[in-house]
Amino acid sequence: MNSIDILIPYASLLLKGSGITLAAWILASIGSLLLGSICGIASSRACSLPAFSYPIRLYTFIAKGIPAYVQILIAYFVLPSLLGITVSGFIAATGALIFCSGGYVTEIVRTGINSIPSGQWDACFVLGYSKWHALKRVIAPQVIRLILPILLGESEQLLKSTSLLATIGVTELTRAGMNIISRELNPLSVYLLIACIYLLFAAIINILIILAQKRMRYGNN
Amino acid sequence: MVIINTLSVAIKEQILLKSVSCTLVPGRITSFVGPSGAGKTTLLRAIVGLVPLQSGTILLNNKSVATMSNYERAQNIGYVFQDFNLFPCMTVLENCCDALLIHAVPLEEAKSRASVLLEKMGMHKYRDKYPSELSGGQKQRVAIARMLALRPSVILLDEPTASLDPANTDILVEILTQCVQEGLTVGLSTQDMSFAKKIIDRVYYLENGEIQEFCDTKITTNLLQECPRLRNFLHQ
Amino acid sequence: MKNYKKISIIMGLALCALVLALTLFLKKETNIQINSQKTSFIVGTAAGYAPFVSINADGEYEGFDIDVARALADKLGKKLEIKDLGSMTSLFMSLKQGSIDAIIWGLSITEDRLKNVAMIRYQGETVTEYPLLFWDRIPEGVSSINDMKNMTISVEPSSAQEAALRNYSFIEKQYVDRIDDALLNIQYGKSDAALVEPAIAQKFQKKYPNIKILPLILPPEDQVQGIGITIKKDNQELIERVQAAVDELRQGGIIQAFETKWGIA
Repeated sequence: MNSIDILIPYASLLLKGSGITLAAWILASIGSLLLGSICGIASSRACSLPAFSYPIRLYTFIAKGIPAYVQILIAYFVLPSLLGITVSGFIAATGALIFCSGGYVTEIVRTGINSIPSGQWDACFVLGYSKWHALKRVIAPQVIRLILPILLGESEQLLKSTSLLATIGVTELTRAGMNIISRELNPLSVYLLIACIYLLFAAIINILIILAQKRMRYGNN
Repeated sequence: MVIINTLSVAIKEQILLKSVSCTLVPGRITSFVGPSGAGKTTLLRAIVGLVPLQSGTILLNNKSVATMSNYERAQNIGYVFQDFNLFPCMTVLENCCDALLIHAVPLEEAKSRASVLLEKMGMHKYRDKYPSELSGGQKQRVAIARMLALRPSVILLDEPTASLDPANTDILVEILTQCVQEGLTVGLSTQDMSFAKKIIDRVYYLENGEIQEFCDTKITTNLLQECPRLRNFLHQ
Repeated sequence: MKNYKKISIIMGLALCALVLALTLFLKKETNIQINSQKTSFIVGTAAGYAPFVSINADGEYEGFDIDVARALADKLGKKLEIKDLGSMTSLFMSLKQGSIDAIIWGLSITEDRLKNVAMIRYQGETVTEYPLLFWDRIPEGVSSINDMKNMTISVEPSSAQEAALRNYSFIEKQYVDRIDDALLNIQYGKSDAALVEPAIAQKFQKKYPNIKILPLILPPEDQVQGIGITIKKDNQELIERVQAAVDELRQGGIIQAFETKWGIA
């Protein structure tokens, strides 16, 4: 009953589900990275822009305080009717994930920047660097090296959160599997297969991070 | 020539410098000595703009430093930090070139200027190493090379011997001697008595945020009479 | 700088208040789409619940509920549009907002649900008992639920089956996210028994003939009047038209044919 043979005819469904999971994950990762980096930089101590700092803190408070599932429901049901538009489940849920994860990335980036010793900023100052040059050429490489493992954790979290798309009807990988189970009653083989696929995706990003860290040795053994 | 007039610095009600007036002269080493917390480092940081002034003026060749842009001031006044603050993600050569690139110097010229300076400091063979692979003395020489790359006319060094052994201190004295010979205005702060004695030239003695005594060794011959507190400090 | 802080906080609070006010306002929305003006019959459901609704290997929606929905749409003279909303919460939210016309998802008609929505029976007789499923054998001395003191029963939360268990406080309830997991629970000894819908019990027993069943008799107030098409209460016109269509389909034996096709009693 739990052999792989049963799953072969469903290969295209599983492929499609994997594709949606992958797409949602990549889009959400990139989106939250961009959003979080911008907000993190704008609210860091060194780039103190009070006009942005407080709204951004409010943003992270909301993004981290409301469960991702609820944010997805809001994005799919509440916001479109407020704005009078219709969005697909995929767009709404991915957008909600970007908003939610962006809050965490903002904190990670901000903490990373704030932890760079002020002496680095001072050195840039006396050498005539503008804040932007200092950030780009001197501070950013140090911050990235510091926060890369933490960002990895956040991305892995996002991968798992993509299964929330199922709750509004998007047939991502987990839901595709559940559908098969309801038809064939073979939970074990399906769960195992799906777990392997998720691990495959997670492995990809782990490898990428290891490669990136190798490149950023900067003389430390 | 740097003229500092009635400079006062305070941070959150605590007064760090009280109405300090002094000068830094080209071709001479001007040292600021005194006990810990006297305000020596604060004074240097104030000159280069890292600390806001409550009152007073700083003139570089009769132009107020406050009116200069960050960019312009960097081309005139250089600074070496006590812990060097080299950029950890750049090689030694890149550390020295990068500021030049910011100041619109073409890449090839920046590289060659940096290489020449590193050669003078004896650090050229380390040009592809990262700061984390260098010793204290080596880092300092890189920091000095990085500063000199912009060809400032005034150079300031904060507690330069704090993390150096005697051998490296001697190398530093040589470098500074060469700098004044080339006409640079050198200013530094130190608590290191033996180092202060080695480079003694124009000395300000600070305590509690005020200049207590000043001594120009080319003019004064009897240190004990003219600058008793300074002499006591140096001979502890 | 202090002014910035004050302004930002005030703006933020104002934004929250605005959002809150709008959502409260929306609750009273009168956004009922007049059915006769639309050309499609939008049905909300969720795949993954064979034999009612699932996606086959070719990626098409199929199942008892899908066939019923198609037949209904035909009768109403409209095009069928299936909207997969994924979960109970989303289905009811969508129904409320008016983005779907009806839910066809094998939902049991219960007194509780009838308080909030209209449900039109399309299948199933009045259920007077639910099947208690045991794996392999019924434990010694157990002839009814009253003999199951301190035993565990797997049940789906917020289901009619869970409601039925409230009279038996000596039972330890074990919640399962999806009803198919109840099967796993009894198979691997995580639960002593599982309480499911009759149609699901049939599905399980077909695949695993070693499953034994004990009936759980329901008091009148828990009895379920079959499964129903769920429509918003104030959509009177659609309710009447669907009721009429269902009656026709039953009279014509069409729904019974679907029952046979999908193995539902």
